[in-house]
Amino acid sequence: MKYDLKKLTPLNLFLQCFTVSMFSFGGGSTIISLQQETFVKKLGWVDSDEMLEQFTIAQSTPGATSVNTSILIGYRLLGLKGALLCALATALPPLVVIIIITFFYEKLNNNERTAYALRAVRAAAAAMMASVSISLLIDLLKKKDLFLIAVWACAMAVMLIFDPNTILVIAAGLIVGILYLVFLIYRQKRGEKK
Amino acid sequence: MIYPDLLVTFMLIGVMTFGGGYSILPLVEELAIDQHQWLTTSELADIISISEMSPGPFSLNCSTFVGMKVAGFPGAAVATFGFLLLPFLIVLVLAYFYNKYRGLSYVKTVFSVLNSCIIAVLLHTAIKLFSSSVPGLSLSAGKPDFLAWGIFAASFLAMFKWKVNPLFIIFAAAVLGMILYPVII
Repeated sequence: MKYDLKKLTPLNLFLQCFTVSMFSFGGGSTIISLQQETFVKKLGWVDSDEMLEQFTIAQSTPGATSVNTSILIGYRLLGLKGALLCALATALPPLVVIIIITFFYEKLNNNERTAYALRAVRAAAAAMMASVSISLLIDLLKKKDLFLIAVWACAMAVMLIFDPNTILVIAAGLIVGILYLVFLIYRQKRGEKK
Repeated sequence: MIYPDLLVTFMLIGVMTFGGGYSILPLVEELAIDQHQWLTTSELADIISISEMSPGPFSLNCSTFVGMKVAGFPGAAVATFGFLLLPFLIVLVLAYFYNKYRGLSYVKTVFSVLNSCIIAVLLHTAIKLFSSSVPGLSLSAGKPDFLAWGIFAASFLAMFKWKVNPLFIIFAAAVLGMILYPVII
């Protein structure tokens, strides 16, 4: 993966984070679909694996996942300054919009049109989430690493059957990852002896 | 002076909210409603619908809204700042180590396994979102929500196949919903 950092300026980073946050409805991990589209596909500032890794870290730390992911992206691109810029850019749109909404809450809440717009946006957000996760799955399958595909299949089955807390899944993945690493090192050492 | 109290409370809420989203609600209920009585339980429903209505992360929206209710605009700013502060510092430390060590092949191996798990988590979220927002809706008793199905299918194709800008998809969906739902419902 080649990075394309020509357009990377502090101002542009701020604006990109701001727009992503401004247009993310439905909260939670739906933001990742926008972040993935913006930072990986559109801008090419972050590669797809990094994005997932940063999302994993963001999910396993306290706070809002999307803010955490954008802090990680910002730090990766422009260090501490980038982290601050991205945190601010992600937090600013909700702050402004909430303050406005609070004033018009009664009107908005009883307004059918708002409800209809939100209902349609949720369907679109579900579709975007589906698109991003299926693309990622296809990338994974293309790597043709049977072990990783088996890990995915197990994780998927566990998610579908038990619907556990994401932190638990990440913790389990970490343990499996470390065991796999130990196994690889062991195999390599044995290969060297022979 | 309510601000120091507000700041400390939201710092606590921030550091204890794992996984974002709705996981903040029990904490708000316990600290802001039971302990400080800044809000009443019936206002919790308002918090949820306002936070859903506005863009950005749900948990952050919650903090801003509670701060706003408690102490107006400065309250909103203090609560938001408090909520972000500790996670920011924690993530910063992790970001430092991540960038320092991510090139190591050992770390890469572990992350490749973690990434496989996260793809399952994301797909599962997509399924949950889909089932709550498309087949879960109906126009009137027993009639499926054709518009939600249509918007889902069109958005999926637009993004997956035609690489349309997601911001445009969201905007178009909002406009379509506003115009078409009143006609078909």
